[in-house]
Amino acid sequence: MTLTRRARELVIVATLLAVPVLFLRANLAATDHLNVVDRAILRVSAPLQAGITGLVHGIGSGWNNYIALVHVKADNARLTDENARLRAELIAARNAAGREGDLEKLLVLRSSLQFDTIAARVIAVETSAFFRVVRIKLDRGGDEVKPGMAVIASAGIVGRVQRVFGGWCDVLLAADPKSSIDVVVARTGGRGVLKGVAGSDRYKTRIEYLERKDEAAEGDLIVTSGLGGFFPRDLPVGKVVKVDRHGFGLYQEVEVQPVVDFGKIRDVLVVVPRDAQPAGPTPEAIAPPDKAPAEPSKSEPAK
Amino acid sequence: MSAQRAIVMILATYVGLIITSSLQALSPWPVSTIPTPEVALLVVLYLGLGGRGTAPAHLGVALAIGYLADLFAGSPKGLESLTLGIAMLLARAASSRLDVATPWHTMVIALVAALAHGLLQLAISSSLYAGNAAAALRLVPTTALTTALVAPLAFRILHRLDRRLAPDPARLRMS
Repeated sequence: MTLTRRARELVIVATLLAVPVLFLRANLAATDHLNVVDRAILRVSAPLQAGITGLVHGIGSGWNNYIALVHVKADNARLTDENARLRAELIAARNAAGREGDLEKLLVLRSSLQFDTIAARVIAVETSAFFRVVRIKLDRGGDEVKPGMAVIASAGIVGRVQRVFGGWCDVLLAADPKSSIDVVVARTGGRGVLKGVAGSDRYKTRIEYLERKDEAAEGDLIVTSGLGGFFPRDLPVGKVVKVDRHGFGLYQEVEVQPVVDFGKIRDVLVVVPRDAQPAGPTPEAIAPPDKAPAEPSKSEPAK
Repeated sequence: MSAQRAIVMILATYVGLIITSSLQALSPWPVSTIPTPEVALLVVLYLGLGGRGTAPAHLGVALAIGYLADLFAGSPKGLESLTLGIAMLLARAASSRLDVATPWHTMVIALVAALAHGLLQLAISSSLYAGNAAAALRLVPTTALTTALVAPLAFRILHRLDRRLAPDPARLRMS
């Protein structure tokens, strides 16, 4: 290889490497921007992801309900096999009942909210361990959905819409380090900002900027403040699992375990705010793990 | 590297990303417990260690693969492109010194590469973690491990694709 050719290759390599650097600089803070090419690729990918998810789910159901039971034809094992089949059906029925229960809770929550919601289903999750994003398929067109809108499940908040492409969205989970949601401690009314904990083995979050005077305690319920206009007030967010008060400083460090199990969410609602003041759901509509209704926060109403 | 090979490898990555992201959604365990293998990194490693083609061509393919990976990873655009581009250049540089003849070799190289890739990603995106990036370090080894475990299978699939494109084994440096 001649020196000129090598020099030319080096220049091309340096130029090519500069492209992602510039992209990264521009997108590090705001990750919701999608250009035409991004949208086109994602619009093609999302149905494929939904298809694969559905296919694997269907195969699993088919296996459980038919293929695994083919060998029960033998008469001498009929009773044993029938017993097994009934057990399998019982498990399937319990699973279905559990799922229907979740859907029912979502419906109750939906009817209690005084703003529009769009139902959606999780079709894929992020491929990077460092970020917490799920991809959802909206029940109806995504024209109304915009980045920043709240996404909730029957148990509480899930996260925010990060980007929208057609009838699909990427949702930034509350456990992502980039996520920030205004919250209050239901018991004291102390306000703070909920952030994801980077690299947590589980989906954990913490509250920043919670003043020391608003003492949080383990087990305290954390709810949304309603500020910002996207999240309704008093939606359960999580429970305090650890409080660390340093001997100095303005704030205390509070670790929160989300009420929603992000690893298992399948059905969610995207909250579409109206121009009017968003109001929270009725307390009985929300079912936090301990079944206790969310105490009304002492924070000021959202403006 | 021929345009056909580049397109096939990019498409293979795309399919791999779609499959892994969809299957992970059905998994009862979160990504942080059983991380998704870094499919895009494996393709880049395979191409880089193969060593065929010019550096700009390889880098171009790595950037395209990184762009796709960014769309599926939930990461800021450019992060995967940049890190995979660097990984491609390093893999090319190491290609003449590394022996990847057995699945064990492949796993060890993929493990080291995935560890380095994870650390590089964390270093570049550390500003997102608000001083808490060190905690994310715990995810690097598990991600590297799952990537290493699927590396032999991924290399085998990519090798088969390569053989379809270039049936003469003598033209392939990795066998």
